[in-house]
Amino acid sequence: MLSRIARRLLGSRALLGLAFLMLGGALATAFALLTIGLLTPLLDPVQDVPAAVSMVVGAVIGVLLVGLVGALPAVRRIEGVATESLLGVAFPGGTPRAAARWDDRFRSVAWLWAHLVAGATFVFGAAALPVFLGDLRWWLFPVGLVVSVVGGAALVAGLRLVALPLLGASVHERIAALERQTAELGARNRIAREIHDSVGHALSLVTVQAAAARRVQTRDPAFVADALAAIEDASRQAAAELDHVLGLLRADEAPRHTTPDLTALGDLVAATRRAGLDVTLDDKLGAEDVAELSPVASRELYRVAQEGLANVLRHGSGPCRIRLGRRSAEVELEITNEIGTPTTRSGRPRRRTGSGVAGIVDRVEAIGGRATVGPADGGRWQLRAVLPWVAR
Amino acid sequence: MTIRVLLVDDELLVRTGLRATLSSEPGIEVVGEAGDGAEAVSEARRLRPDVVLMDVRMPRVDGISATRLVVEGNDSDGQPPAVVVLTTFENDDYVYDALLAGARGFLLKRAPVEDLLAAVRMAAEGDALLFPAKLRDLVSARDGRAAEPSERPPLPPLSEREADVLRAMARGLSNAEIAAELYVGVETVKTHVGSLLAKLRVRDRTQAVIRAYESGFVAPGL
Repeated sequence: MLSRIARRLLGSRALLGLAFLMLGGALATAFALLTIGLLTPLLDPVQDVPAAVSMVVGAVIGVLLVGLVGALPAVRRIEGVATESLLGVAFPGGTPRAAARWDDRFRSVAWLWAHLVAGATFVFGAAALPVFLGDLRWWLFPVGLVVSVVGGAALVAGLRLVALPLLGASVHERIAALERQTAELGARNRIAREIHDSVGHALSLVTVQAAAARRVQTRDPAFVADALAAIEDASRQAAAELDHVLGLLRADEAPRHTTPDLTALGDLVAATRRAGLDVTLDDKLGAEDVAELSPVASRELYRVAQEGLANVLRHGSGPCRIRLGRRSAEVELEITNEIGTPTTRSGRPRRRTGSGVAGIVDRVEAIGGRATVGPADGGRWQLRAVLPWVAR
Repeated sequence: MTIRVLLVDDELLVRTGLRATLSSEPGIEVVGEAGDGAEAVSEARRLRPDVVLMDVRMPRVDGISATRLVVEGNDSDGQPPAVVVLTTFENDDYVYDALLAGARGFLLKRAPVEDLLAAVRMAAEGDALLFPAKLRDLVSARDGRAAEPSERPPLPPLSEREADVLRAMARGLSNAEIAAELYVGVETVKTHVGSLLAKLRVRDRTQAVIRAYESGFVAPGL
């Protein structure tokens, strides 16, 4: 019993809590010194200022200082880390992020106040109480120490109670997290569909051709030779597509969890080149332009490029060219390639432009742009998406 | 009697492969090919095949609509062909839709040649389910995503014999096999099957069995 109480009051968890209070006390002291520092020149020239006035002015300055510091976005993050590691509070949505919205900032300010008040109470109380009591009766000194420790534990418990409401994920952050999850799921589904369409299709074809070849091998050697060539073609193409899709997967694993945007276009082009397609990128947008473009448009254009390239890889042939440019109030992405003369051998018709490209048109239109897909002049195939230029 | 087959797939190489495989088999003749659903419907009407092997995802008219059109056909044409859906993936939602549209059964493109030949023969004979176990898996895989048991549409009241016949149908037995098992004549079984289809308001055996699974009358998990 006693040992349990002692552990609660002096165990490592309790001591970390007290450290958090000391941190709050130190910060409170800093704020107090700053406030006094600002107050002195303000009141110095004026003589005979009533104590009440200087108290009020001091309080206003103090509140302003704490408010200004607490509203700094990073403070939420710093306090979040300290709260997690020292107070042992587990935030369900992960360590709090830098405040992105004003309501998060206000809550951070409230939390900072709680931290400062609790810290100052503990530090000054613990420093003063035993000495004060010890002056009355020498044996009251250790009693004062015990009271300080118990009081500290109570303050820590109180802070733990308000940590989640004041620092925990806001509704907006939860929505954003859900959106991120949905986007990841969507990306995964897209990749699944991609594999389904390309590799699954090719493997079925290979199975059918191989089965047929085995059955007619003695009677129809010419068919067997054709079948083997078709199997070779289909397998090679499927391997290239798999390479491409896996490249996309790896690109998605990049430290940024979110959907890639135009800043990743270079990586995408490189991955596609590795998959065996001759791609030239003609990027007329500067880095500042890309940085200025709204994230929605930027992500959508990346996705258009991604699906477009996958499509060229699947159906087209010959060199492929991506043009990205800004024209007055619009941003334009264009992917052009030679129309794949479907080799009579594989005779692979350009089908299954399917969900991918049709989806592009729908999505681009949904965000106020327009997209066209189809044959263009000079025996080329062109995918063109135009979005209104919206700055972030 | 030769079984006349129409191949429908937008991939030429799948068609040539299937044609080579089926043509090498005595008793089966590939009478035509179609590259999309629209072509499939007109070719089915023109060639009057016994069996149509139908890809699902195709340009213009897909395999599901084409199945519906081929099976519903024109009543004056006589017996419509049996449609067997060809698919790349087992748990493809399209397969289910195709079965509801009137396909006799479905077959994976990667299925062994023996399964392919068996499917063509059974579809032509027409009185047994194709791959009952696969159908069961398909229904139970959907089941997990579908409505609660309490929300399933119940079957209309069936006579004891009809219930026996329906259970036997779900196991993939043919009319002759059901007759032998229940110690009745084949004609009697045919009558029961006919009245079952009418009561369940379905077109064919496959749909009757799907209804039986969906209603929980036959447990797909067993």
